[in-house]
Amino acid sequence: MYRIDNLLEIRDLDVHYAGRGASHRILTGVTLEVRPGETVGIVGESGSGKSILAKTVMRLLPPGVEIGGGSVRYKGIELQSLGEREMRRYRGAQLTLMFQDPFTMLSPLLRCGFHITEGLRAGSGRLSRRAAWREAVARLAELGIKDPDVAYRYPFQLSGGMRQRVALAAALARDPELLIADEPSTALDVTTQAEILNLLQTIQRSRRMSVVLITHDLRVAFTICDRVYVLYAGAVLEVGSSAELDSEPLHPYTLGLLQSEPPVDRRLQVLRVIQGNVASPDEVVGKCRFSPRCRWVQPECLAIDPPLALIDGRQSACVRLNDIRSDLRRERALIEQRAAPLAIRTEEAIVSVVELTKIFPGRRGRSVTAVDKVSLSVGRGESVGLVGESGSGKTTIARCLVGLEKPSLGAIRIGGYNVFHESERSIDPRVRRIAQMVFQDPYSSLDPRQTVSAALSECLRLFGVRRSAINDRVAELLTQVGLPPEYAHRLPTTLSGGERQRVAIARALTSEPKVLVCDEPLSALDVSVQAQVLTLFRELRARLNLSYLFITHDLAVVRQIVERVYVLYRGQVVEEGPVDQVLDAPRHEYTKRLIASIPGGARGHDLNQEVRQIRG
Amino acid sequence: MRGRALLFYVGRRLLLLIPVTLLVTIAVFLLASLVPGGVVAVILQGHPTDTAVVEALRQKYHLNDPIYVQYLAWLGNVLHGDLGRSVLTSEPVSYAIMSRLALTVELNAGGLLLALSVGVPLGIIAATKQGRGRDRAVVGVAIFGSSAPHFIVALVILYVFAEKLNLFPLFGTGSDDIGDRLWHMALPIVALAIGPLALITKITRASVLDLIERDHVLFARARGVSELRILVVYVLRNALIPIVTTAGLLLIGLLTGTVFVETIFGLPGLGQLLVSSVKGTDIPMIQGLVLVIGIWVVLANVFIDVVYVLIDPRVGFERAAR
Amino acid sequence: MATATITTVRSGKLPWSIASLARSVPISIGLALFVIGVLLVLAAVGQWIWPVSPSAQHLLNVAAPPGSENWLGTDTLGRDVTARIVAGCQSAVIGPFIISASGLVLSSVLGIGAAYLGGAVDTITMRFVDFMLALPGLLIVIVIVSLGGGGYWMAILVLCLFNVQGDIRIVRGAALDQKSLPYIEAARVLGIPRWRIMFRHILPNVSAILVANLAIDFALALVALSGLAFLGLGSQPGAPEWGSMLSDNETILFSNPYGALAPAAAIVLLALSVNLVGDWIYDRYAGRGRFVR
Repeated sequence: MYRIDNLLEIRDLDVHYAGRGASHRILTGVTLEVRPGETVGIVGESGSGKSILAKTVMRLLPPGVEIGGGSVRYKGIELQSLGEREMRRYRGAQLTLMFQDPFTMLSPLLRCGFHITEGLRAGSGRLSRRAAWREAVARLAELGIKDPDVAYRYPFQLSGGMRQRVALAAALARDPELLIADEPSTALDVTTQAEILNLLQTIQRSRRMSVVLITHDLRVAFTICDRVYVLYAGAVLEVGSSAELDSEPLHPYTLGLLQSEPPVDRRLQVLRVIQGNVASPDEVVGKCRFSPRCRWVQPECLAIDPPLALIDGRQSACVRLNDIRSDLRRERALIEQRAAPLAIRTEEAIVSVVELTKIFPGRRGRSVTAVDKVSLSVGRGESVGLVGESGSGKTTIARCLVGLEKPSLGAIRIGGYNVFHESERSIDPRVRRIAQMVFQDPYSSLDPRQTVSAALSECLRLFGVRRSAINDRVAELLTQVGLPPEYAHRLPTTLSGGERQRVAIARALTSEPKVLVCDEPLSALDVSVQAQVLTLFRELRARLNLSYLFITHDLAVVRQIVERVYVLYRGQVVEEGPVDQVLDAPRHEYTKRLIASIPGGARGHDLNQEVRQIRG
Repeated sequence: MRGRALLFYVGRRLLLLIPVTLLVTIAVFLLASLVPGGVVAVILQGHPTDTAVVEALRQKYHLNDPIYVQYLAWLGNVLHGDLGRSVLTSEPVSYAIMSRLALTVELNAGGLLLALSVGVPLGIIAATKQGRGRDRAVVGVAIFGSSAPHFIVALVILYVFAEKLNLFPLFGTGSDDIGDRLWHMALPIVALAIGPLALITKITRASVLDLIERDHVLFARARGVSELRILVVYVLRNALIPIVTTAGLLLIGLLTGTVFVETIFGLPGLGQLLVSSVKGTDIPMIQGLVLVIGIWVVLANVFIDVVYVLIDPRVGFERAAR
Repeated sequence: MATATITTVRSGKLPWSIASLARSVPISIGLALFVIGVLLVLAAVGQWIWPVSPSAQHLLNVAAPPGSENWLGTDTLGRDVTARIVAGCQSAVIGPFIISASGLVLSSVLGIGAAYLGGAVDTITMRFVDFMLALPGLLIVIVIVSLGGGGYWMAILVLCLFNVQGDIRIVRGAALDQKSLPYIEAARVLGIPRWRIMFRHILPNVSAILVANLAIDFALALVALSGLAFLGLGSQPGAPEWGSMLSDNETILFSNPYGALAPAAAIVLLALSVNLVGDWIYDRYAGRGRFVR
């Protein structure tokens, strides 16, 4: 039974991967609708199957992935029954798909405009080449690229945001009625992200298209989507309008997601966390997908796989909803609570950076000033945030602090020692005992061939721990970071992202440092796991009296963990102060823009206007 | 602007690579000087050694001068076009080389053309039909082809096609008539091309396979671009880049194989000349040959570099680094 | 979430357990390994256990076709071809092994060293490599070997020299990929000494490439060595060496084709088997891939 007015209708879709022998589930029983002129969001973490869902609709599945059952109808026509030739006629002209990474979506050897003219000329009515290129320029202008030369440039000559616009223009070249955008803004800076999302909304309205936005960030979905589907481990757990889901989530997972993404406008006393790791569909067959991690799990949740049930005009797959509805409401209200602002402790500085400058020699003689006379300090026991987007220099500063880069000018003192000495190649070894680093990507910051115990012992031996005491110390460290001591014998490839990051933190703690420099330690993790690790950072700080230099682009995260913050833009500090003050009452234009770009942080704002004002 | 930048680039590359050739000739010169008795000993092989004659010969070949003087003298002669005379046949080295150059160039060019025109399509076919019978067959043949050394391939081909099946002539290069020439050269060219062909097939297949999964190809499909168009416009040019980067090795491999193929098929080219002069310790000839080979390799490398820069817009002439 | 490009280098490690190895090996590779194994055994003990002598000449039975006494017939001096093939296993295995093993050692030290230490070490090494790569290797080898007097060991020495350049470049590339990964940077930040980083962290993670190179170099060396022997430059006259057997028996191609075809087949078989294994290792365990999530 399908409604004729649905543009896209998916019913009971099953998709699996048929590898050598084993078969893995990817999507189970997914049901979804998109009406004309509507923007629908699909929110899911890794393993939820959201990208495969998009590819299934377009029939662009990778080898080995097959549809097991269910139907996918577009304007009433079953897409699976079409031959490849016919399907191709639908692609691009009726429905189209664009991906996450603007750096790889465009062919590096073809001019930007070509991607657009290709589509324009393929449609009915043959356009001449001249006319097609003129139209391509017009299309780019529609998306905010006014400079006509851009069409004639190659992708590698453009920035990420511009490439994404080119890709969007290419996707829309044949004026499709449905656009599926798979994480279109994820690989971009926060400010660019806001622009692109806004652009999508404008385009959708002016062309009267439908848009399916796939993202891992609930708040992003809330900004421009009318309705949102929450996907987890291959199944839809909840469906509702953005407003409804935000104000009253009807599934523990949705609630958990909302709680895991901290708000930017207040500090939370307690960070509510979803325990455990993201499950894959095979692990949760026959029971409620979320049951291994759910706080309200009961035997009835493990008995069957709950279907989506209709409740008050919304849908939720929680069997216990009636019982726990009030609990959910209460938890939701917790997010609205505010913690008292932290007292600033003015102690002696344990990290002191004075007029740090780093200049990188560039190609063709043009050098890049990554860091321009930055001064900052971190007090003993204090936690300081370093906030900025790509190109702000924040990572370079972090690298200089731990000795991975040598400053061109300026001085860095840690724990009273100068980090760099004029003549020597490496840094003062005493500094290593005071400051250590936690890296961004847990998937590549551990040696894949070393067991956890080997990695930690190597460091412990280096820092003078006696052989006999090493095993105990390893167990102690693992417990400190919330891992069972048995993990000592595991290889990193057998651990999840969150677990790997914990091991990385344990490794950083082997030298018993006083300061941890954390370079975007949460960005590579799933949303539900980010909160866990953030809580770990908080606990460690309290227990070990650590200082943090916490580097991130995420203002909401930084608010939960630091007392003071520096805002960086293009290598310079543009604003600094207590975190509450900077985020609530920003003074510099860039800080204002940054805050305005946060999805959900400034809903109802006309982002374009803000941006235009700032750009001048 | 590109035209001028191109010229500068070519100039710079040539400047950089010529010292390489010179270094090699120096090395060979030094080695040759280590041969006991030097050129003189070779000339006098089998003849009674009269000290007066020996001394006269040593004077004639400047063997009493210090090494660097000898080298500079040789170099000076080279720049005048005089590469000395063969001690085995007494003919001028430059004449010997020039008269055989054309044949070797034919052989190499033919081999390269064959390898490319068959190897690239084969690689593409294998990649687009991956996993199925055709792919496995092509891969199997490719691995086989790249394992069999040139001289064995040449021998087998000679045996099977010329001897047993009597389809092609055994030796010689044929007359000036194009048809006859092709007929004579067909077997040697095929023998020479098989190794490089296998390699090109492997590389093409691997790079096409890699490209087919890339995001920009997927995006093109999502926009409804046809498979054929994707192959030609998106994949092909990208796929050729690895071939160009290994083209240098390929050309050198062809040159090396020429030695064996010419020997086995009895073709009077540079390869055969090298073998005979090496066996007879014909020092002037060896030096001359090494020089010519060095120049050949330099030119080939420069040509390849230029092609690479032309294909890939990301590489500017200024930073075309390997 | 501004995801960093999560860098994509497959951990180049080899599977440790034999069981997992046996399960994951396709039939063709299994066969190749079997062939290699047989030839290795023959190389080690063939000369002693083979009943027929490879050097005994029977001048009355020259160029005889295969028979009950001589499975592959006899050569130009009446020597048994089969026995000579078996005896030739030794030179076919030892020489290439020495060359490829020295290539392994040199390329790992120089490649990883150049990649990690950078600066002058890197510049000098790469200049050297670029120079050598620009040369038509085998031709120069031919010249040098002949001027140096020829012979098996001379050929091995010269080939050792001319073998490393490609490997160094490949290993350096792989080591550079590893060097930019966070786990190496973390090691630097923790203060782990340089030598340890290079040989306890980078080396194991490029081990697959090293082994694959070993195999491919072996095949190339085998081909080069027999090629030299074929031209009369790479072996002692009279020694049972496959390459020289080929050229010797070319003249009796019509009386006893096996005299030439047998060594040809042997060379191709060994080279093919080793190439197959090397390619497979490269495909499965090394090269560009993704970190297992």
